[in-house]
Amino acid sequence: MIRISGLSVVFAPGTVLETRALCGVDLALPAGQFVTVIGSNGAGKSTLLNALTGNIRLAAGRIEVDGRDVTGWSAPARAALMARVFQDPLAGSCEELSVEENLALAAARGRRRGLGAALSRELRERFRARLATLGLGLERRLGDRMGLLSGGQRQVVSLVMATLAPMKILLLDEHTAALDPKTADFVLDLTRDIVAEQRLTTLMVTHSMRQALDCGERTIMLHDGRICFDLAGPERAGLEVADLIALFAKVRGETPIDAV
Amino acid sequence: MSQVAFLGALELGLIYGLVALGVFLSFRVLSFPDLTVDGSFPLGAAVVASAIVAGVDPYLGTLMAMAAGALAGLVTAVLNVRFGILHLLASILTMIALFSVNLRIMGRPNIALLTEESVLTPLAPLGIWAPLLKVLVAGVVALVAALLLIRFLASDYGLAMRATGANPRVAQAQGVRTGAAILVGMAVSNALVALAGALFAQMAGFADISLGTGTIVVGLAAVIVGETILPARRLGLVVLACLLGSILYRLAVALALNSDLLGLTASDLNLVTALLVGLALILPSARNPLKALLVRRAG
Repeated sequence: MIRISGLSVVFAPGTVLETRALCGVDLALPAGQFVTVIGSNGAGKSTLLNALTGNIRLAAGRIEVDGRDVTGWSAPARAALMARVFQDPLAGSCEELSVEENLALAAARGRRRGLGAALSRELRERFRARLATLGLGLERRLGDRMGLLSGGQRQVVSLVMATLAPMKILLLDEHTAALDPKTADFVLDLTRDIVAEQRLTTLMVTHSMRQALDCGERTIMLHDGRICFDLAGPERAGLEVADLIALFAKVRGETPIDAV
Repeated sequence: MSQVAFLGALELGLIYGLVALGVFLSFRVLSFPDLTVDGSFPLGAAVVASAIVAGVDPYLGTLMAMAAGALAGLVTAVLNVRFGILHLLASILTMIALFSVNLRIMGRPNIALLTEESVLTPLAPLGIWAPLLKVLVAGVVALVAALLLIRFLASDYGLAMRATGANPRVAQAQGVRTGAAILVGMAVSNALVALAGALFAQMAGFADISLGTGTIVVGLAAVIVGETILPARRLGLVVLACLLGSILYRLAVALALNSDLLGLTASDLNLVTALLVGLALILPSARNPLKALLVRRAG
């Protein structure tokens, strides 16, 4: 169970550029729930993820993971509880390291890193078996430099990296936005499979309303740093993209929007 | 080149091979351009020289020199990690400060060690010719340091350190405390450089305040020469290439200085080194090396 209460983030406080990116967001995610987050640019989607992972300073609020208050924890400390996939496929892994080194780095998330060898035959075998299930031939490229892989392949590896070690919540930050449609579908299907198989609590930020409705069991829309609606169960079940747009327009005061 | 000159170049190459390992760790692994080494090399020499003159065992003195170097590296890393000072500037601050610190440690600009004990003294009964003994000792130390570094970089913590240099955001997202990794890496890097300084002082028979000038460029030259001669992907080979680069660099310098044709003197060394490093940085990235030098780049 992830519980966020009164989360506020202010950029450049006390200056003329002061921006309130999040204004008292409350959100509770029961274990195993797959939640999608939508919202226009600047709505606070990425800020919400950054606040969760501890990459930005909070103005106010509290973050609890399974009843533990992690608000004061640093980003690396929180990484033991949270795994993240970034939007930019090139930013989610170390391109100078090999595929297996990236995987080993990720497999040790949440463990104390000592002077034992980072890679072993067992670990390589485990990575090879894991990559083989994807059917992309990546299991034959364990020793290749990450930079030699395509953007799509790198995003697939990033997703695998995020889900190698146990976690309390998986955070996906528009992780298909920079991919071509076919690769994006592949990564999205893979995401669904992994989330279902490992029963992960997941927060997926997306740019696509279609994706937001097709994935998961609950959809949240952020606007101006606030949750403007939170849909689940029967009221979400029959919803179409057009309904979402109408709902959004109503919340914003009947102004037309450009994003679909 | 005479045999003595050859062995001398080999000895210097191996000692500065330790500097190359340190520079590799900061520049290549951590992506932290660290000029502290210009101060930590003479720091190592100053500490060991003062310790030996004061009657401390040379081996203990060498360990003290390494500890002092590690401390210098930590200062630079703390300035950068904790106080957010640009890495290059942080290292320059430490380097400048070390000039005064080194003078304080030595109490004078120069200490002669020729008649003092050194790490070589216990090995004297072996009866090995002195120039050869120095090469052997420097070689063993450099090789052991390289193997330990390879083993370290292949460990879980070493991998975390490499990730810190390659992509700090990813490293943090995987739970790596990047700040701590930089502190540890910079301490180890400068301990290696101070070890080189300590060995240099004992083998050359003196410590001097001006020993450090250009250490960073020599170290970088070794790393780059090594990468060019032995372009490897395997971690072990990449590290060993630093030692190879350092030796080749010293041999090339010795050849140039010994050649009457070129008319170079020892005082031209810094110019030659700077030219070499400059060219080595420009040429590998250019498709047409000649064009890269002669034609202005667009944009």
